[in-house]
Amino acid sequence: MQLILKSIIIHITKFTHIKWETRSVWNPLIVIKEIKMKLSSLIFVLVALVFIGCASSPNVSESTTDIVPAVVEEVKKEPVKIVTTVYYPVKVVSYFGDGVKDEYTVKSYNEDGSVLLKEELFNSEDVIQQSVVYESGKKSLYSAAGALVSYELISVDADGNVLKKEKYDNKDVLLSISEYQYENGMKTVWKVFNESKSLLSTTKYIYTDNNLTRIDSLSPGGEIEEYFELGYDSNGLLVDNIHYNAEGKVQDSRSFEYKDSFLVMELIKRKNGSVLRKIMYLNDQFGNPIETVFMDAGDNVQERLTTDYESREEISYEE
Amino acid sequence: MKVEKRLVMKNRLFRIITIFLVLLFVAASVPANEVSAVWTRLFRRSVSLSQKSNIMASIVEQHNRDMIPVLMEALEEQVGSLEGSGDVTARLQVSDYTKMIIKELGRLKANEAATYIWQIVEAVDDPFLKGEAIIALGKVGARQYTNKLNLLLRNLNFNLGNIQDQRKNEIVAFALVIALERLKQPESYSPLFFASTGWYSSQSGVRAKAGESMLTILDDPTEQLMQIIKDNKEYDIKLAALVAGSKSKAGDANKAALAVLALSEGLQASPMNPTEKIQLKSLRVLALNVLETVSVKPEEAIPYMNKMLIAYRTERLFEIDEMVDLFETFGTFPSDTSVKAQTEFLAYLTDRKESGRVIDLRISKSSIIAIGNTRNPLGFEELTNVQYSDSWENSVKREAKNALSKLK
Repeated sequence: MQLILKSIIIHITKFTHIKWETRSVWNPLIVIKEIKMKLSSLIFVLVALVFIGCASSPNVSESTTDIVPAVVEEVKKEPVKIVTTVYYPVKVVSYFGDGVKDEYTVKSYNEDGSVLLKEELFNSEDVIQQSVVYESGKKSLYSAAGALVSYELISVDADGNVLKKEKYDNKDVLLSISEYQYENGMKTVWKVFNESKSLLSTTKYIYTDNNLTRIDSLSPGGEIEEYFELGYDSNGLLVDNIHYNAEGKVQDSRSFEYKDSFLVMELIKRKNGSVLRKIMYLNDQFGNPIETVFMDAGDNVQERLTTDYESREEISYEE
Repeated sequence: MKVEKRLVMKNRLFRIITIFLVLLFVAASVPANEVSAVWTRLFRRSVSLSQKSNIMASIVEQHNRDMIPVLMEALEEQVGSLEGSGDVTARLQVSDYTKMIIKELGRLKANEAATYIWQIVEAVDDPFLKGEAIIALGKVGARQYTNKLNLLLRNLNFNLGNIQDQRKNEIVAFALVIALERLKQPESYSPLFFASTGWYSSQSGVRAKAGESMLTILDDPTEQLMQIIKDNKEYDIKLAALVAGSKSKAGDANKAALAVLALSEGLQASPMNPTEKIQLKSLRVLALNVLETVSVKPEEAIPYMNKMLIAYRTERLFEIDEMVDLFETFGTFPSDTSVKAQTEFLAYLTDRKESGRVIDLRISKSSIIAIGNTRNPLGFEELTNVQYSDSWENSVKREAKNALSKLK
């Protein structure tokens, strides 16, 4: 039985596509690591799922019986090639509420599209406004005139997780430091230090069954100052994120709506539950948000972003 | 059979795998607003300007609408503290910090911040900071400040300030043009028009940018331009208004109406000096060119065009090239009124020719060609007179013959 299931998974993973979301901070190392990690997790979860499916669905078991001999043989012969399609954003255009183009960001990558090298912000007349250059362990912000504005030194661990970000101005004066800790590849702690390296804030991330369920924001003395509770539906989709103050009173909240498991609407609500604003997502067939519409509570469009993607294929092998 | 079953199985599991992939990525992509909360808290706790500035650098980097409240808070604080900003270094630091906030609010199109941004516009003298705030007002869509911005630009257009402030004023004017273009209100057309024809240096880019903005804020500025032509005595302004109208996206009927008004203005006035003479001629010629090219041929234009024929007959008021332009326009006006005016003029030329006067060939030929181009049979008699006249040169007769052939 195990061999049958394994063979089915192997066949299916050949056709697996992974979609990639826009990230505010792009770290290619993390991207690669996360893809690997997610694929491993995926296969693990899938194996478990199919086992459950087999146990409760006699029809499926019957079907698989017919195909045992041919597939088992194939598995034994060679490791399975996994082709993963990774979508990465190359251009983000911002439009005013009336549809007039405002500014746009062009993202440049290395030849195979795996490493982000530069983000350039242009105004509607194609005049550069600023650029962000990514080098190994360094992210630098330049003005329209090409002068250095600030930079970050970024250290990562062997798995590509960002451990530390030190932000400096153009005169090499330290502005702030962020430090991160991880467990099983999941971020558990974020600390912020000031220019004197004194601790300003600690944020703790708490997980339940691999889902982030609570975020505690602590003072330098360790007292809770505010916290967030994240709720999921039965499919494991995040449905709300409620922000509380130290006394446990709701400050604001977010709720998330999905269609075909793709995020399509985000509502930002006041403490009394009334809608403050909305974010609508239009996704392509792979679930990449190609249009993001920011609206107020009355559905007046404040801003519209469109995102163009390119894709690359990543090949890996699984035994 | 086996193959089919395998495919069914593959599809079923592919759907499952897809769902799991989506779960993984949705969880990863949800913006965690604890980041905004942390930076907001840290900003509120910071005391000195340099601390605030350090934290603000991280807030701006987020480029997140969740940060709008704290950005507004920071700006409000700045409005109150701009006055006592100490020495040059401190003022520069304050200016840079305030610009950083304003620019981000503009990028986030935070309309709710308009009040504070306007307060900065009013409070500061630094043209770069003022300009940044004005541009941000445009980006946040602060239409409630359109009139105030119009007034600012109008005042700068007058150039009544000190000459040493001109560079500063150009910086502010450029920002105003950008903001007004974004706000797209019809009432901004006039200040933009005068900025496009104003005193600003070409290096400042104000005039060029204002010219572009005029095209974008109003598709049909005929009403505004007519008002400008009527209200202003300067011929260069009238001419600029007609140029703007001819470049606009207005329909032919409105372009023609504007040209008729410009032509009437160009005929009403007598030039006081050679410059005015050139300006008036340019105004008339452009008006005629517009009337020639538009598809709508307003009858209202004909009395003014005829007035030119009469003035030529009596005073030789217009130069030959201008008269050639007039005939080219007449040729596109096929109405009886138009052709009647033209044939009367041709009859006058023939009379003079027959009485032995010298007639410029360009005038006579273009008059004949124009009548032919109207294809109106009313021109038949006068063209025939020319063709069979003993006085006209052969080349003129040939032109009359060609014109007659068009009438048939």
